[in-house]
Amino acid sequence: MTSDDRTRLGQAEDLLALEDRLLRDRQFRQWLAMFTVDGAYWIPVSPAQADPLLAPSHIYESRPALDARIERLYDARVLPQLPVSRVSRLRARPWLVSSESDGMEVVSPFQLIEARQIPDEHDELRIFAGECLYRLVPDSDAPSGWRIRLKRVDLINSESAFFGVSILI
Amino acid sequence: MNISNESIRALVRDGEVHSSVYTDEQLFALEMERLFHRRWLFLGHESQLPEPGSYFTGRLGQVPVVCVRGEDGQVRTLINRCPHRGAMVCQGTAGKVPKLVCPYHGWTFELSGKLNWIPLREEYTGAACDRLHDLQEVAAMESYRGFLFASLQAPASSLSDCLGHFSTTIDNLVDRAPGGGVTAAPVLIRHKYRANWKLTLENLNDTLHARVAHSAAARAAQVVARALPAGQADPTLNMMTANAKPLEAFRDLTQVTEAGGHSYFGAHMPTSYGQIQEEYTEALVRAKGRDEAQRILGVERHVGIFYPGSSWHARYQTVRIMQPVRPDLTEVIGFVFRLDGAPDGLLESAMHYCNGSTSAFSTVITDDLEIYEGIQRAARGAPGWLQIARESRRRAAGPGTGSYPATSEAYIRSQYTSWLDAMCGAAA
Repeated sequence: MTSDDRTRLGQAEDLLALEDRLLRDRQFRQWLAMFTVDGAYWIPVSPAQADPLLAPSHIYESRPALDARIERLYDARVLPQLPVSRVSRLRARPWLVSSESDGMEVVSPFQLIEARQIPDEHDELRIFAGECLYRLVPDSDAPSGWRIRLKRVDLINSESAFFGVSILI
Repeated sequence: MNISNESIRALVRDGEVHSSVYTDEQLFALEMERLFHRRWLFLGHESQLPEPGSYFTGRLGQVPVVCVRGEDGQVRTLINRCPHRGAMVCQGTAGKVPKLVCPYHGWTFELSGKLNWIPLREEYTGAACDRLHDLQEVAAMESYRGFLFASLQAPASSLSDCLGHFSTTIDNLVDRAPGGGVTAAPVLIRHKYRANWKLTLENLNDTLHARVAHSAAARAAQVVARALPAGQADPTLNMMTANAKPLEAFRDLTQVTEAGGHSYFGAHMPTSYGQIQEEYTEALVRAKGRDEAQRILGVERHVGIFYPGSSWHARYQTVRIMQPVRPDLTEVIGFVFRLDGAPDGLLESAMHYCNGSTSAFSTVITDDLEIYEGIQRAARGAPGWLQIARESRRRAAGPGTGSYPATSEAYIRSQYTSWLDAMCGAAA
C-alpha cells in the first residue's frame, strides 16, 4: 500500500467513526449530510445484485427519498419506533477495495444489535451482521475530506423474510 | 376437528367479526384445509421457469410444492415431498436440475414427477411394490397470461370463473407491456409479521388508515418535497404524500368488490410514468395502436386483492403473496415484473413501489406491521367483536358484485362472505 493509500484509509476510518457516532446519537440529519447530493443508501436482497434498479431491494434510496426516510425518524408518531430502538454497533477496521484519483471504495464488516421494547410483550434483541461498502468521493468541505456517494449494506441473511426494521443499518 | 359450521357462522354478524378469527388454532387449521387447500392461489410466473428442469418452490397453504418445467415444456406443480420417507425433494427457492433427485436416499423422478429409479428396487416386495409412487401432482394448475395458479385439491370452479372480473387487473398488467408479456425480476423480496394473514388483506383496500397510520412518512415526504426546486418531483415522495390526501378524495375513488372475496379500488398513487412516459407511450402505441394504448393506460387501479392469497398492482408491476405460517405469523413475498418491450428506465418507479410495499425496511409497511401485531396481541389478550360496518351504500351498478366509495369496508365484508362459504363447505 502506498503512503497515499494509507492516508486515505485513515481518513475513511475517521469518516466511519463519525458515522457510528452520529447514528448512536440519533443525529440522522447530520448523518445524511455525510452523503453527496447524488448519494444513495442501498440494502440489496441478494449479494449478487449489481444494479439496484433491476431487482427489488430492502432499501434503495437516493436523495430526496432518503431525506424523507430521515425526516420521518424525527416525527414523534413513528409507531414502530415507540419507544425508539437502542442500537449497539461494532465495526471492524475497513480495508481499501479501490483507490483512484476521483474516489475510493472501502469495505467494513459490522455487527449490530438492536434492542426494541415491544409493548405488552418481550423485549426483542435482534442481530444484524454483514459488510458495508462505501464509495467515497473527495470533498474538501467534508470533515474527513470525503463524502459518501454510495453506502451498500450486504447483510449475511439478506434473502430472509425480516420483521419490520426501522433503524438505519 | 370439532368446530361446527354453526359456531363458525356465529363469528361473523351484521357489520362485525369476532377477533378469534385471528387467533384460534383450530380455525387456522380449518382455514388451511377448507380455504387455502381448495382455492386458486398464485405461485409464480412462467418467466421464472425458462428451460426444462427449471423449478421454484412455494407453498399452497401449509403444503410445500415445487413448480417445474418438464422435458415436454409443460409446467407442473408437484407436492415437494418424497413418497419414500417424506424428505423435501427440491431444495432452496429456485434452481435447475436434469431430474428430481431426493437428497435423502436418491429416489429419482422425471421432471414430470414420474418415478424413474430407486435404489434396491428389487427389495421392495409384495404390497409395498404397489405403493412405489410418483411425486404427486396438485389437483389443478393453470397459467393465466403467464401467471401460474394452482389448487391443491379440486377447486369448486375453473380459474377463469374464479378470477371473473378480477382477470381485468391481471390483463392490465400484461397489456401494459409493448412486447406482449412480462418477466419476473430475478429476486423476490420477503417480509413477515407476528399476526394473522387476514390482517393484510383487510388493510390493502383500506383507504382510511393511510392518512393516520402513515402520517409520519407522509408529512416527512411533504417537508422534503416542499424544499425541492420548483418543478422537480420525486416519484417515491409522490407515493408517500399520496397517503396524506383528504378523506373526501379517497371517498371519490371507487371500490369494486367481487364474488370470491376479490376487490380493488381506483388509482390512489400517481399513474404517470414521469420522465419516461413519452418514450414508453410511443412504444405502447406502436405495439397496440393509439386507441388500445389509451384504453390500457386509462385503467387506473390501486391494489387488487385476489382472495385469499395475493395482491396485484398493474401500474406498479408488483404482485405479493400472503403466506400464512401460523395464526400469528405471516410471510409476504413480493414480485416485480419487467414489461417486455418497454424502455429500460420504466422499471424504476415499479421497483420503488415494490420495495416500499414489500420491504421490511419500508417507511410505510413498518407502520402497518406494527398495527397488525398490536391487533393480534389485543385479540389474544382481550378477544371481542370488531367493526367492519363502514359505508354500505352502493354506487351505481358497475363491474363486479358491488361498487362503493373507496372509504367503505364492503371489501372486508365480501372477504368474510367468501371465507364463510369456504369454511362452512359451500362452493367458492
